[in-house]
Amino acid sequence: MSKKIGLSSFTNSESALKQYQQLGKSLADQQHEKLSIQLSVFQQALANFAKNHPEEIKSNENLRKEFTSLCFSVGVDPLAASLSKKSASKNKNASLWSKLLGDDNDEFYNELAVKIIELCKKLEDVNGGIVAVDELLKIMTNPDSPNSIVDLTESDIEKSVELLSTLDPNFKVITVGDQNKKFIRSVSKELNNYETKVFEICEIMGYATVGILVDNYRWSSYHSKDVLEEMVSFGFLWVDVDPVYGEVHYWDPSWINKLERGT
Amino acid sequence: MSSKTRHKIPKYWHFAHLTASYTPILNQHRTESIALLVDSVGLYQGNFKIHNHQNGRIYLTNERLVYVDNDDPVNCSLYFKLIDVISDGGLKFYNGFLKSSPKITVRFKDDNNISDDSEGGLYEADGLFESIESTQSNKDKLKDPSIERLRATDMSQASSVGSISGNSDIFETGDFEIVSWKCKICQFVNKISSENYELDKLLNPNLNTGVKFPNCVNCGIQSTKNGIISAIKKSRNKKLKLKQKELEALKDKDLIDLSDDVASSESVVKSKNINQCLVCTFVNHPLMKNCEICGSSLNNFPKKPTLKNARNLIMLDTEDPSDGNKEAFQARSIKLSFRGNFNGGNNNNSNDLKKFLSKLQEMIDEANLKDIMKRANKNENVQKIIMSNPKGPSDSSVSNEAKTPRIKTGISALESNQGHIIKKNEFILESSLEDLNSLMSKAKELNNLIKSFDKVINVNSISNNEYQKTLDESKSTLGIGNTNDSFHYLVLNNNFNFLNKLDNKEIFYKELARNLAIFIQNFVFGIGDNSMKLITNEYSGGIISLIDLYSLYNISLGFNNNLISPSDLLESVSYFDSLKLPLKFRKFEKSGLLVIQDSKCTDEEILNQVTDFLINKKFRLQNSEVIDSEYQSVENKIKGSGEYFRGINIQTLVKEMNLSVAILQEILDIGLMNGSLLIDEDISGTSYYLNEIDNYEW
Repeated sequence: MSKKIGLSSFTNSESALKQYQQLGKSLADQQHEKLSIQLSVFQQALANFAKNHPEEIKSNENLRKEFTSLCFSVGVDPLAASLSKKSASKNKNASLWSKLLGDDNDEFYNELAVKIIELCKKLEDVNGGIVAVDELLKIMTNPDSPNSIVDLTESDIEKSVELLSTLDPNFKVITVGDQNKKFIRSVSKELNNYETKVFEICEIMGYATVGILVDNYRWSSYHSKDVLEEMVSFGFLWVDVDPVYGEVHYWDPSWINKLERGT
Repeated sequence: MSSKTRHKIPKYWHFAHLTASYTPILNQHRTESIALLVDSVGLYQGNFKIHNHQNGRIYLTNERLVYVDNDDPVNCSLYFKLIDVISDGGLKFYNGFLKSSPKITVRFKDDNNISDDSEGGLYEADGLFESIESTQSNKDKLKDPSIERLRATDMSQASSVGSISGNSDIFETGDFEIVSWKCKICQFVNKISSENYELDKLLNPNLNTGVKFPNCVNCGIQSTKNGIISAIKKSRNKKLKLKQKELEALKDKDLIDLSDDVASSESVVKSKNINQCLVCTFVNHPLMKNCEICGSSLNNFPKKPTLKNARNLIMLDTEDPSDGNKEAFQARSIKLSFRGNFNGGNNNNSNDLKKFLSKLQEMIDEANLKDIMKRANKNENVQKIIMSNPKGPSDSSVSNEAKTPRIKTGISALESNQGHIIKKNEFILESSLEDLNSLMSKAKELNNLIKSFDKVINVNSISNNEYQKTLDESKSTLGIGNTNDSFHYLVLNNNFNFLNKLDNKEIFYKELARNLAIFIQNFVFGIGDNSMKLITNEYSGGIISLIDLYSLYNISLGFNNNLISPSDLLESVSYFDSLKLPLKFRKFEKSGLLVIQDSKCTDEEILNQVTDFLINKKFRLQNSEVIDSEYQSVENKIKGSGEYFRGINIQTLVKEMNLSVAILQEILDIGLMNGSLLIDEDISGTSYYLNEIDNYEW
């Protein structure tokens, strides 16, 4: 490129710079795209390996260690892989076989318990330590993730949590409302009657307001507000002000996720 | 009555180094793994019990058999290497009869074939695990009676050299005879060696004409004839006596008796006494590192009795010391006596024992095979090292550029180069995924590749945030985040796998408790070395809830590796007390929360960490610009100085201190009760404040 002089060189250099930037960006984008495809393919393949060759990996100590660390570094959870493998075989061998193969199932629930603890810890920030079982299930079986677990059921989760309650009496499944909606509680806070009622409402609507509580349960508005705000302070509910009526909506955080996914 | 005598350890025994919770430290290359464990075992040397080694656990690894004493693990733990055992017929099983417990006799190769000890350091702490020794050795050095004794003998030796000064003492260095004499003028103790002087000529008074008597090294005055002669005579007499005693005491070369009588103590001295200065030929005290006369360093300085050596002494409970010892040490065999539950003719137990026996044989065979392979493959290894010569972390990209024939410049080169890298990545990934073996053989390459992914992303961070996000997301779903590396560490270091093979529940729980203790200390509380802490945080009090422990520990076990169950965990932590591990298991009364706590760590200390944190946070807030100006002005109005403690909610504290909510709640409650903290509850949650009201000057 011949070097330009004079006033025009200013405008030219500016446009050239822009072009370079664009080029650079498109290059980087391409690279990024290819790399992420490679990565996701590799993740998937690694997860498949974990599913298909569990015995080989298990029997060789060094292999196992290498494999595990490899999995961690690319963001594949070997636990999830082994879980889905086991859960598949568990369902196949239902009834009689499951009794005979008790050991393997124990293993399955132990692994699942580890997974549940991880997720509950992670979600504690969002929901204050109370999470719906079906939400947990949805996260664990999310097909987009390389770490999804196939054939997992709610009752599996409940069973694992039951095992865990020996370690922490506060960690357990609680049931709310007429539809027996199940939640896992990982904090020491006991839900009182009022609070379970609020969860019932949230189950249907996704949120509760003072007005709804007053209308349905005949609570005083002071009392309703008090209950709701206390739940907010524990982190169970999130506050949102309705843009039209100015009414305060107290949202169940799991619904926030649902809405997000919907859009 | 059985008598006890101390003996230097036979060559096949080695002193075992232990972790802080009294489990053996495994080899530094991480190729060792524990296969089996048996409790209540006693050791025999030949046919005699080894004193203080009668109640311990033995760990069978793929390289060694380690005995860890239950009563005094620090001083009485031994191991032998499996390759030292005679591979064919080296094991003999005795089923036990009436009161005698079942035994396995292990026979060793002769001394020439025993693997040398130069790699003994392999099984010592390498900083990963805090060795029990590093914390206790100093104390031990002072306490250990055998060390004391060795010191005492050294002292007595030192003084004896002086006291004989009346005229002489004799030593032998190599082939030379050394006589010491005391100068009559300056009292300096000189030494003359037969290397320089013909002692016989000096002795013979008739031939003294041509002989020059030695001069005092100190003052230069020549020695008198009589003085020298008497010195030589005395020293020779002494030497004779010594020799006689030696013959009695030291029939076997391997045996060095350290009992209290003078003869043996001097024989120890003698055996070490080769500490002659190479420059001036002065024979120094065995513990000197530099020559006392000329100051040059003594290369042939013999190994001084270190802690390790002292430990290498074992005592036998023998009926007849003179016969028995000799026999026992010549037998080149030891016995493992299985007490405890193996007693009696119980079928299950003897089956267990047979299982152990066959496993032991299997391991010995494997170890021998490995040894042979190692010898055969020596050249191959060299090649491997060359192959795997590290080229740095950006391996793939660098080598790629190097391989392109012409170094192009410009945008097209950039593009083609990029295409190159991606091709190469593809190649590695594809070829690695062909089957499991190729995957694992490429593990290192893959790890490098993944690192280079990270690198690319960091360089072009403008538009690659998304990619970073994907990786971060998938990582964070695993709950690993930035602690990635420590996770590697963790997975690579937990050797708990073998325990699934234990049938005996009690041993299993005890061993689990020991392993948990190491795990907690190293990775959770980070007592040994902070770099390997999973939770890297300046404040992480010595406390963890069982739920968290369960999750962390099981992750550390790695893929598909028979995780422990909640009830296993609960059962084994209750053994902490009885195993004297430095952890305690407790329950918070109010919430019923179960936690593991460092036994030195009290609630008050953790509370102090919280208050310290609040105090430090105050300063951080002042310096940061995050605080919004309105708030700042209000704050200034309130206190004038602007120095105040801002409230903090429990979620923030959890993040900062890395304690679980439940534990922190308990701790904060204690703080509220004793008045060091205040709370403010509102819709945004509960905020905790330092109690400044008490300190405020109204």
